[in-house]
Amino acid sequence: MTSDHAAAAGGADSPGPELDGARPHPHDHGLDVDEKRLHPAYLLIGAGRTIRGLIPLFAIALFSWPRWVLYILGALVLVGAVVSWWTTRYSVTDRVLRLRKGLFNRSVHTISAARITGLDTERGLIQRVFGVWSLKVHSPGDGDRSTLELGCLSQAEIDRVRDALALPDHGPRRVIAGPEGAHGSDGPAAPDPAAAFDPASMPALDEVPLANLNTRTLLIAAVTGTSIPLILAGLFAVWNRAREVLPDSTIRYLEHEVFSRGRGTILVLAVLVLLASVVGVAFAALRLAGFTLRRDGERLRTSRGLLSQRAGTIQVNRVQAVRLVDGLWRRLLGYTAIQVEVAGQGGHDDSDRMLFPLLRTSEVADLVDRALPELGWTPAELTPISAAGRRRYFTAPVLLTVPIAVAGWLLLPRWEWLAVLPLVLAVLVARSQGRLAGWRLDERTVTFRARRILAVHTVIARVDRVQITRVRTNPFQRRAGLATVTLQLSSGRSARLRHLRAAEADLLLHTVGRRFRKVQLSKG
Amino acid sequence: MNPPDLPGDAQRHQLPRRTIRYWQIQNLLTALVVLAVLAVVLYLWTNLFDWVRILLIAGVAVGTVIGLLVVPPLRYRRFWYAISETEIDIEEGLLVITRTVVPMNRVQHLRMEHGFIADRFALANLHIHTGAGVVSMNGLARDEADRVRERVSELAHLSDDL
Repeated sequence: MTSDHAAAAGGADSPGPELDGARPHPHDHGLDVDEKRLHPAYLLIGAGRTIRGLIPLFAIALFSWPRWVLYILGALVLVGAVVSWWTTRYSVTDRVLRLRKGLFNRSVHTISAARITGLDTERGLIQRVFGVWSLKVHSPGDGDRSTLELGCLSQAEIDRVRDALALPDHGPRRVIAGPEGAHGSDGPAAPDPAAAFDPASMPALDEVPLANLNTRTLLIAAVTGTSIPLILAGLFAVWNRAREVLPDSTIRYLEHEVFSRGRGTILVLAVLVLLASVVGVAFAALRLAGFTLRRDGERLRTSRGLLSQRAGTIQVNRVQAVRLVDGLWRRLLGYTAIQVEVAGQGGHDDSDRMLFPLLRTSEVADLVDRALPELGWTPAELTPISAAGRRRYFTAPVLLTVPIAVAGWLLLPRWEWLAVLPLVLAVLVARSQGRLAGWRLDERTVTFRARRILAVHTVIARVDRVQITRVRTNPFQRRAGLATVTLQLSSGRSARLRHLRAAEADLLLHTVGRRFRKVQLSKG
Repeated sequence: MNPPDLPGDAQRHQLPRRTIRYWQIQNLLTALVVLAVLAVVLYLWTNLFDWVRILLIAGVAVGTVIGLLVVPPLRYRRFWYAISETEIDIEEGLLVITRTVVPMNRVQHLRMEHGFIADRFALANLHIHTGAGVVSMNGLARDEADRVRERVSELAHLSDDL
């Protein structure tokens, strides 16, 4: 089924709009999208976003400025939204997406379909009410600036843009054997890949998803995620802020109330913290709920979210590497998160590169193999770091924490034992880093596993896709015959392994990323 | 399995000797700025302890001497580059030594720049951009930089499977 479409795509590549009126066949690639504005819902959503950004200003205006200032501010926001909607136009011509923006300072973003590494759609609650999505277009380049966002598009518009951009497949198309064929979407009435991009109706696809996030894992993901630490940090920040703003006497009174009134108040505090945590966990769970991973020809699709929804596509042949992340608690519970490294999507937004939020570590290899057979990853024992290398892992943490420990010992009477704590933690982390670090090189993949501080990252990169290989040595490493290897990926992220034997580092330097490999291996 | 040699295993190129001078002048300019800042700090901040003053002055003096006399020749000795049809191979460093291999087909574009000091020495800095970052060669002879630039843009196939 898929190869038919490839042929159709190649054939109907004449420029210019061909069809109008009724919705044309989704695989006519000559199909263009005429220049038009975003869905009018953008007026409301754009204004809402501006107001959200200006909340502090509005708060001040509300309390301390005359009422008419508030009206003027409101009017400005409204005018801004209208102007922004009026001046933002997009079009697709010959598989090139153009986005024009701006009244005085005009800009035109142009991006060719051949450069697009991913299309994501997402929508919040208000967007759901209007039945619109925002479309995010990713391309390789430096981080966030390479992402184009089309604010509000209706379902039908998203389909049209997608069809017009219909990601071309280079060269002869691989026919996916295995799970995809087995799940059989090859009936005559089966949805074709591009037309099937209908995030709302995704569950209706007759493909069986590769994986669904079940409730138990969802809860674990939410509880062990970043929301609880973030909320605690937030509460702490609020308290600090309050100390600055409120008069000293009030603060002293509050502190007195809390810390010397005994258990009652502490209980109230604990309940507050617990409540905040529950709310945080609930939000995280809503974000991840219903996470589904599908493979659809040359694309991987993820969709998720209960209230605000999000769907993403990843081009399989753009995947440079898979990164398995085991956080501290998740590792203890035996769970792993799977990320993909795709060019131009290394930005700080973790969710863009999420392939699957969490699953049992024992099931990871199977899922990666079913989702990305092209990676050719065969999980195997990693080569550990030599004993001399493991010893080196202690150097930096110990050198850093000994002064802290000494200073603490001298400066903290009665709490001396606390001063030793950083040193003990550093030693524990270093020991674990040395033991966990490992690597492996086979015909198609290179694997690096390293503990950062708490989380353990395992990067499985395609050998022929690594962009830059670096071997770095400091004088101590040179004396011990050790070296640090860094593999830089086009996602802008990298994988680093410290204190390998010099010979091992040299082998990696001579092998990874080079073109000869295929020839060499076919020889035997 | 013995992978074939990298270009740097066979023939390594060094920078021209005048690059040392160029780096020394660059470092001298930096040192002058630091000295100016130090002078202002010492002048305005009158209630500093004497030993702090002495430490600051001594630190900057030692730093300047090292930056002028020790660092440039060492950097020069460490640096080499080699370019074959398939790879760019560069080693650089001072105490920490880094050897970088960029496969030729990863090169996205090249950028050459030279300031007025580099101009006086007929030197240039060449930056090789890839999808994952930049690799720089500072202080190449200008004509050599031109040759490298032409050679790399000839060899680099500008299509890449990003």
